[in-house]
Amino acid sequence: MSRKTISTTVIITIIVVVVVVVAAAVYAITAMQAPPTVPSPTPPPTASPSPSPTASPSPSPTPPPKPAKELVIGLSLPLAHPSGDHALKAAKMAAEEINNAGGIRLEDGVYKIKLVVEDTEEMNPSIPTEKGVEAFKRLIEVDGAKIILGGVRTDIVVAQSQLLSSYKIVFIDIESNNPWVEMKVAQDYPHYKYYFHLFANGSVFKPYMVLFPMALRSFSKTHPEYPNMSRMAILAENALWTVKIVGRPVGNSSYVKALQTKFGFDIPYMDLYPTTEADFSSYLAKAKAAGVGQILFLFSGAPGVAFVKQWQDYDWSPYKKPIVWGPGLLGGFSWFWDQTTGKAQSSIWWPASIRLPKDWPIQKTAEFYDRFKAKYHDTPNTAAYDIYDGMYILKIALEKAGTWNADKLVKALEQTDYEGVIGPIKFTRFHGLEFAEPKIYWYFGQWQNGKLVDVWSAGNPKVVYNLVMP
Amino acid sequence: MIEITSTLITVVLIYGFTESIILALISEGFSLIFGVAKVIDVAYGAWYMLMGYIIYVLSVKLLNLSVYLSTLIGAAALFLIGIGYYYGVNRRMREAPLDFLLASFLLALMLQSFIRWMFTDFSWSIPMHIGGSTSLFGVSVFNQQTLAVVTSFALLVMLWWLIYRSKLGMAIRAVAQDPMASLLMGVKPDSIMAYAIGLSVMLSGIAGALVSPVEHITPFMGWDVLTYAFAIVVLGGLGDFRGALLASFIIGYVEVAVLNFVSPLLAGAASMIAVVLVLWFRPQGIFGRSREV
Repeated sequence: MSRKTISTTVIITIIVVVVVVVAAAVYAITAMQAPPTVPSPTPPPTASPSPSPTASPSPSPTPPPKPAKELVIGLSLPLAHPSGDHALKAAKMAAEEINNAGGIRLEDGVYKIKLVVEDTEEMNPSIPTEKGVEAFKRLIEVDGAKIILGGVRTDIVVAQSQLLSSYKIVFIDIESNNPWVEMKVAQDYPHYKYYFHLFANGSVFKPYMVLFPMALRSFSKTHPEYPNMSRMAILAENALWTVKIVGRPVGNSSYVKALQTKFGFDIPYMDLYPTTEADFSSYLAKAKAAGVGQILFLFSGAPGVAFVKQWQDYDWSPYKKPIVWGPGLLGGFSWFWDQTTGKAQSSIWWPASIRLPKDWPIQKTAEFYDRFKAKYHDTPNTAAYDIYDGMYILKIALEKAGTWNADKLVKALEQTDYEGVIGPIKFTRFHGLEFAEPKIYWYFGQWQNGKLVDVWSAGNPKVVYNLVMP
Repeated sequence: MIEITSTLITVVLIYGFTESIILALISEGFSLIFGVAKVIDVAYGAWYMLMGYIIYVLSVKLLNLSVYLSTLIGAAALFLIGIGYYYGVNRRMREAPLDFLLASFLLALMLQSFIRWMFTDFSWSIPMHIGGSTSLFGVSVFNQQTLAVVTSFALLVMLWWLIYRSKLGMAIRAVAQDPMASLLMGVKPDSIMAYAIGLSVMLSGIAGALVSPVEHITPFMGWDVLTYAFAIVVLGGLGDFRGALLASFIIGYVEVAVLNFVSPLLAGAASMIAVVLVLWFRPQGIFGRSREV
């Protein structure tokens, strides 16, 4: 066979392979975008947007309506991450509802919401702060956003918050955990007052992180089949949001010291891991050697998937497999079960919003849950709840202020008193979320056969319930 | 201060070995492409990543195939892709290694963007070939990692045999030394290079198939692999089989030791510092030959 013939054969083979791969890819995309065949457990409510106050039923000929004015709202989100994906969907849902209900009435007329979005890529393990800042600037300078909602990773939100006073623009942070910017609001109000934090910050969450392991410990005392949960390991990702919680070096925080001295936990093993970590063998070996009964695992991205799989498959003999729990943003999202191919079984995460507890008092939350599920065939994650409420509190504040002028809007937002889908919303003096009343963040949920089941509530903090063995 | 116990030493010895042998598999393919074609394949990590997604599509998302079958299909597909890669990209830039470096970088970015577009940034999982773990001297080792070690060892032996004991290997070495002279001896450099690059791409993919099930797959996972492969090959001496093997063990053990004895945050940096230190004293790498000017 000549050399030319070999080349032709190879080229034909390659073309065939490429065609097959592309066909498979197209099929895969189609398969992934198809809605699941499992019907929603509750029928979706009928769409009932309020009729537009300006709509006229008169049959008489009217001049063609003026094109509605547009208010551009910017979304700064990691679009290829579940938080960004769900936030975008929920923001669209809210914008559609608000527009269908007549829009936003300001001093100079009625405005329809126009959403613009930029991808911050902030959940990329390399934490690309510069991309977050670029996206933020693009929203303002190129897309013409007058107000911005978004923010997931604290590192990026902190960088973006430096721009607010220069641009005089209001930013509603929907998902970052650290209260760093809230502290800046307290220290330097004129420069940072444009920031509002619509998510439970680490300080708010800290009491839960004491009460929950205590409840676990009490449970293990009366259930000898469970591991001894007075011994604990702490593993935290090396990102800004964990600094206040576990300290640097790890263990050097008021929280960890209180756990050890005030609340009597034995913490023989603590470590930080890089945000790119994928092999947790060594960490698990140390936790096993320390004989811990519970592992507090703080994560927000991909390492959580690898950790949970490895924890599940690890040989813990002669000890009992420890309980794994923590604030893991991804852990409470509906896709976590699939991402771990079911290895998330019995791991416990906060916030756990994908399945509401039976005694949840706010009807609005369930309605939003059902509407979102009917529209997008997925259960909303915390970012979806937060941004949905963010859009509505913004509407109310804009109508109160009559303008998107940032200084006036800040005053109006500070007076927020709204019952949202996450629960009652008020802001503290430093623009953090007031936590005096029930929120969907009050719960820890445990993965049980594909469902996230509530096992602890801040309303009844001394006990765990519905718990299954790891 | 971390207390050094016998358990910790055993952990370092065992995990260091598994890490090193897997790094050896990852780096040998990279070493092969450099040794034969004298180019740096920046897309090398992308093949590793691509294999993970091929298995994900075949075994999880689309056809529910056995993970073993998906691995075989993926390896065959990557071998063919590697041959196409040679004829489509490498051969056209044979005289311009810098152009190839940039082209392969672009290809890696394109593949990453394609995967991000199709599967998003989320990390997904592919099934393990063997689940669970087994205790070895009191240290739990994932069965998947044991499989990776055994397979890597077997593949490395086969690769060694192929390169140093077979006629094809002799042809590969001949082309690596002097393509023109080998052509005069009746060897077809194009076919040999295409085989070698196909093999290199396939080895990268097999490493991905063996390692990813215990971890996760993301569109970005290839860059770390490329960094390690590059560091190992430079440390061992460019294109040298034994050098890459030894360098894998140096980097693997340094990394696992620092992770366990010092801090996980310093493990990656420590292995790169080890590379710099060795190259300081021996710039041509451990088994590299110095060239007289």
